[in-house]
Parts: sequence; C-alpha cells; structure tokens
Amino acid sequence: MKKLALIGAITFSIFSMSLAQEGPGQAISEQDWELYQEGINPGEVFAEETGGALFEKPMGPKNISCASCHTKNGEVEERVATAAAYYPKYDKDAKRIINLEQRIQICQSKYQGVKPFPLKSKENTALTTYLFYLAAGTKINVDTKSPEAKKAYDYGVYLFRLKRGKRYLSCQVCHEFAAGKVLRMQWLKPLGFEYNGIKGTTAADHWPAFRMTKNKVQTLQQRFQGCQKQAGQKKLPLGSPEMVALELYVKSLSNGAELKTPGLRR
Amino acid sequence: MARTALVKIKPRRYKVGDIVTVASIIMHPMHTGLQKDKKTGKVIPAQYIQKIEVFYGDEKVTWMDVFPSVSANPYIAFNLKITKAAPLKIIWTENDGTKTEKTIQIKPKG
Amino acid sequence: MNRRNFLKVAGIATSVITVSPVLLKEQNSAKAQQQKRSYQEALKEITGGSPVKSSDKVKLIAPAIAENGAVVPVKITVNHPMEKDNYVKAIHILAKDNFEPRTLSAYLTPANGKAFISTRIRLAKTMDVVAIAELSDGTFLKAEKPVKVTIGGCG
Repeated sequence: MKKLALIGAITFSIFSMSLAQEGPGQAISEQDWELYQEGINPGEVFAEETGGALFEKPMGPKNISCASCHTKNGEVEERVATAAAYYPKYDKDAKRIINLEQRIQICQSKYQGVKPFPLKSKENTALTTYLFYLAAGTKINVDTKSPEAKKAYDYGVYLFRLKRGKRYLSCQVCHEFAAGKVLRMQWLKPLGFEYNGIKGTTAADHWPAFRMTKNKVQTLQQRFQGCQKQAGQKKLPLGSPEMVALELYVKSLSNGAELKTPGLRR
Repeated sequence: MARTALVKIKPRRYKVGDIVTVASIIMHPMHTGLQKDKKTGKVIPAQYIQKIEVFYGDEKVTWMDVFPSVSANPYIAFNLKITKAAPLKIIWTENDGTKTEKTIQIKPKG
Repeated sequence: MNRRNFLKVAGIATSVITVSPVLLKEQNSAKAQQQKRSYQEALKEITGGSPVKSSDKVKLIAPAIAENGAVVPVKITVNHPMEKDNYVKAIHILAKDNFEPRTLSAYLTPANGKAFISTRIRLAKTMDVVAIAELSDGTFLKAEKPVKVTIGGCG
C-alpha cells in the first residue's frame, strides 16, 4: 500500500510539473491583453445602470434609498464614494472585521429597515460594484495594524498558506511558489505587486470584475470561491470570518495601488 | 424588455471634419439556441441581436447584420465623420422583433 | 464473491461510469463543432461566387492566443478611400469553424469617414478568423488570422 502511495505521489508531482510550463508564447501576450481593455467594459454598464439604480431606489418602511443619506448636491458624498478602498475593516455596528458587501447589508437592515440582499445576490453585487466604480482612482489602504485588523491579517496569511482539499493545494502554491509559470494557457501570477522578482497583478485593484466566461460581475470573495472549487477545495462561505480574513490579506498586498474597478477578466 | 444600451463618442470633444469613433454596447445574453439550461436540461431558445441601424440626423449611415456568434453584451465600434450637429440614433433589433433605441446628440465644438 | 458483494461492486462501478457534469459541458461545446453550414457556403452567400483576393490593405487585429473563447476582440481597418463612388461597402467577419461561420457584417457608407469595425466575437475553438472587405466596385479583399482558443486556466 505504501509503495502505491509513493508511486502515486511521484506520478502526481511529475504530472503537475509538466503542466506548469514556463515561457512566453504559451499564454496571452501583454499586447493582446490590451485589445480586451479597449472598448466598453460590460462591468461598468452593470455598475452604473444596475448598481446606480439600486443606489437610488427607495426601500423599506421609511422609503429611503442609499442616495437619500449619502448624496449631497447630487453627488455621492466623498466618504462613501471612496469607501471601497478601505474595506475590509473593523465595523462598530458589527463589532468585527467585515467587507463592503457586509457593510451594505448592515446599512440596509439598520437604516433602511429592510431584509438585506444576500451576499451572493445580483443586487448586493451590483451595489458593491457601483461603490467600487465610484472609488476608481482611490489608492487602496486596508488597515492591517490595529489589533482586530492584525488578527484578521494573520489569519488571512495562515489561510492563504493552508494546504487543503483533494489536490492538497493552497493559494500560495499557485500564487507564490508557481508564480511566473503557465498553467493551462493562463499565467500564474502573485496577487500583490511582486513576489520573488515576478511581477504581480495587484489583484485587489481590479475586483469586482466582469468575468467574460461567466458573463457577469463577481466580487473578490465570489472569485475566491471559484478558485477554491477549481483547486478541489470545499468553498468557504461568503462573508465568513475566513473569507474576510483572506480578503483583507489579499487586498493589503495591493495597498497603495489605485482602484481600477470594475475590472475585466476571463 | 428594456435593454440597457450605451453609446459613447471618442474623443469627447470634436469639431466638424473630424472622424470620431462611436462605441456602442447593449446588455444582451445573445442566446444562440444551441445551449441547454444546466438546471432544467431544456434548450435555451435563440434570442439575439440580429440587426443594428445607425442614423446620423435623417440619414442611415451604417447598418449591420449580427449573428449569434457575436459575444454577449455586443460591443461594436465604428467611425463617423462629423459634418453637423444632429442626433445620432442607434436601433438594435432582435430576432423576435424586439427593438432597443438609443440617441445621443452630436455637438461639434467650434 | 457472494451476491451482496457483487452488487456492491457493481453499484460502485455504475456510479463511476455515470457521466460527470463536467463531461456534459464538454459535450455541449463539442456540439458547436458541428457546422450549420460550411465556411465556403457562408462565403458564397456574401460574395455570390466572386473571387476574394488576399490584400494587406485589410488589417485584421485579433489576439494570437485568446484569453477565452466567449469574448475575442477583433478589429478591422481597411486602407481604402471612403468617397462617394469609391468606398468600402461592407466589412464581413467570419469564423471558419464556428457552427455559423458568419459573425458580423457591417455595411458602411462614405459618412463613416474610415472603414473600421471593432467588435468581440465568440470562437468555439482554435480557428481562423477572416475579414472580408467588400468594395463599392464589387471587388472582395480579405485577411485571415489564426486565433488559439482554449478553455484554459483554473475555471
């Protein structure tokens, strides 16, 4: 039995090494990727039209909209228009670290008096995308120093490096150890500015993004779930302390980068 | 069903004689009629943009035959020579006859 | 082996043989590989049988490796005047191995100023993309480019 396991392990490692090939010409070039960035991003239309409409929609017993409280002189107030750059962070109402999607839920239940849109709903995603769209150009600045934030940050690092699931992979395996290689015609890249000399994608600066293969906008945590599923891991629930910790860690890797949201991704 | 459509002119400022780029997008799933709904197993009926017409003032300046192999949320850009201040109207017609219209004003500077 | 064990093994074997949803998805996209009509038929509908000449006046820009098959950006410019009696009448974009090879046909007029079209098309798999410029004098010019498409990546 042990011999079989050993052969299995060796076969697997040879197999996985052959999958991750290095070299240009194996995945989309920088130049060709620019072609995707020209033109209108459906994510922007989703943000403006769907998200914007929900932002203005009066709801609940008081019949108020997000705009009722958060716009001054026809413009969304600065604090809310740039909020996306600072989440996940500690929230006084929730008494824990939460992300923007969850803050929207708290606003809905506490101030509008309605049952909030679920985290996986199109509505919550639309509102989140709208806020990220308004915040485009703002530099990401996620707190990692205060006691609560530091705890979440450390937990996020732990989860990022934790190997689990049927393929025994961690986020770190693809996004640090194998960074710079090509897997199934896609570049594997670090999620921050760089790692070991390999240029990263500063992932958090372009999520939420419109995903071409899913034909819809996804938030960063929703994207994490997609990654987890593909890596053979059980999906972590949206809004769970684990996902928020991961989001905080991954977003902090892009601290200083300007938000370019909504993004356009495969 | 009202489809969201956007029309943008690049560059934003232009004058008579310039050739600008008109960028358009309409939010539409472009169902080819070849795919099955994963949950019900039934074929999703074909529903796609079939024709696009562009009017600059009263003149039809560009028109297109669109097939279902154009990506969802069809994005199409073309050039336009600015000759006058006039409305630019785009009409998207679907295979079942549904129409969506969007008009923007062409306002040359100077 | 007694009957109980045999049924157990048979049961496991059957469940393993059951087609997984992933495979079914592949079959759905494999369907796209059969064609409603051939590229030649689609081409004939456009040209009526007239000859089509390759020309570097037709500039077809598309990625060498597409990021995904659902959205492939394609840009075509035709280096030809757009005057009253001498202009590019239409730009046709074809995807040779798609179920329906025609994707978009844009009919232009001198009011466009330049013969240019930019759009995003779906490609069922790796194939050639063809841009055909139809001139007002009835001539057809073309440019072709292979585009690599793969399901690729992690989801």
